[in-house]
Amino acid sequence: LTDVRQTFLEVFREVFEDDRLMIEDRQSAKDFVDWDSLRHISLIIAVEQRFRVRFATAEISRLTEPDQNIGTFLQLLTRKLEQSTP
Amino acid sequence: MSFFSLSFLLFVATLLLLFHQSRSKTFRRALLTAANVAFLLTFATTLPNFAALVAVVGLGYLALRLVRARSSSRLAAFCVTMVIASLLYLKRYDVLIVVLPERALAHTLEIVGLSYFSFKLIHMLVDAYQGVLAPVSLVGYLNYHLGFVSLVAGPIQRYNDFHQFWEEIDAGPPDGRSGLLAWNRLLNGLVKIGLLASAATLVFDLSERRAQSGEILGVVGMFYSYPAYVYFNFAGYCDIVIGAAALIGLKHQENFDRPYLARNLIDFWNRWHISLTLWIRDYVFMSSFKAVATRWPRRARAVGYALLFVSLFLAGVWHGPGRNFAAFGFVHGIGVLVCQMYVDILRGRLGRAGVQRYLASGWFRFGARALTFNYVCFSFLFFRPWVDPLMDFLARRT
Repeated sequence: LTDVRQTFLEVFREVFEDDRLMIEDRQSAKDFVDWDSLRHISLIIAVEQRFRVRFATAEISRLTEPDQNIGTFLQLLTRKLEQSTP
Repeated sequence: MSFFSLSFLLFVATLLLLFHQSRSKTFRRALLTAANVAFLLTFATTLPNFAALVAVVGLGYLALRLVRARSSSRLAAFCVTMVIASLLYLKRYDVLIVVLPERALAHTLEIVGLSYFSFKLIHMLVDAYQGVLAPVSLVGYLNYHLGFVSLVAGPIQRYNDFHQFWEEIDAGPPDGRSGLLAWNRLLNGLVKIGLLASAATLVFDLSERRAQSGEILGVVGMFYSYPAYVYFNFAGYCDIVIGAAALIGLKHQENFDRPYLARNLIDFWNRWHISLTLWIRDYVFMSSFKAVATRWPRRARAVGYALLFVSLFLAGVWHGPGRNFAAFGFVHGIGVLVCQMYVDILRGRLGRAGVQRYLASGWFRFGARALTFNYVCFSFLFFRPWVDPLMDFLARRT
């Protein structure tokens, strides 16, 4: 999980073009002034490509709901990785 | 049956009395199905209309079963295209003249809640293809699409949320406080429609007469009273259906969040007809942007701008086949595009901390809200064809 978290952070830094960016599980889109719809999809695409997973439209949408945050995004990713592991 | 009527209140009260007589799933599902059918029949004015509704809903169910069974992207795309084509045909959109003879659009079919049905079906088809749709039974499908609490004008509820309610329909009655809040919500809606929307209509009618006699105050009155009417009428309707749904344990998404306090047009659409905005964001904007940006990442930002415009344009066109709705969508598409570009320029120039300072400034917030509100009021000029008196007035002045 540590590797996943570290790679996840690297993806965030690439998408937000900030090498010193730090993220916490409880943070969500509203904590970033530049996390808009365009950035959200760029982030999803980058995570999909880096981890070789696919998110459904409903899952991407669910990530934007008020009770969701970086922690729940990471949990969803972990579930996807577990499902794709033979 | 009108939502602003004694008969609707009696309908809800009777349903509630019966609904809470038993917690049996079979009883409650049968009761709700009967209530939904009874409510639907009050809108089925002619046999052809009813037959068209049955055909559209039935074919939708078959398409859903097929997509679920085959899991083929081509089949899913074909079914979604057919849903859009039937919506355009049944709503008599002018654009079909390109492919159909004009007389083919001369039909008189009117299907209640067709636009909402189409959007919900597209969502089901996409989610079924992607393997994230909850199990669907025929009775559940019919109640989801034809339920009295969202049949006429939404909100566009997602199927999985409805499915959860349908599975837990045997839950106990809401506690005293929740029940009172639901009734309060319903009554709030009645006040919004009966008192506030009616007052806005009155102001509008008086203003229109003044505008026709050349008074600028009349034009100003029309400019602001029509958006007030639209808001109170639609938000009132949503209060009524959200309250009525809550009384039977069905939770609907909020559809309005003080939209006229939005600080820009993107913010406005996050507060106005929220379930429509989210549907368009998910199934038009995000889906197409993701597809394009995955293939051509270097052009992602430019494509994103174009898709923002297209999405809001479609939000306008969805309201109806009239060209005034296309103009409404165009005004909002341009507005959202300019907002997004402005925000991106600000971020580039001010940086993260600078943008945060900018957003926190009270003066900027006030100015942005005033500008957004007036732009939205301007866009409502195109929402119905009452723009003529304004044009007459301007013609006389110039």
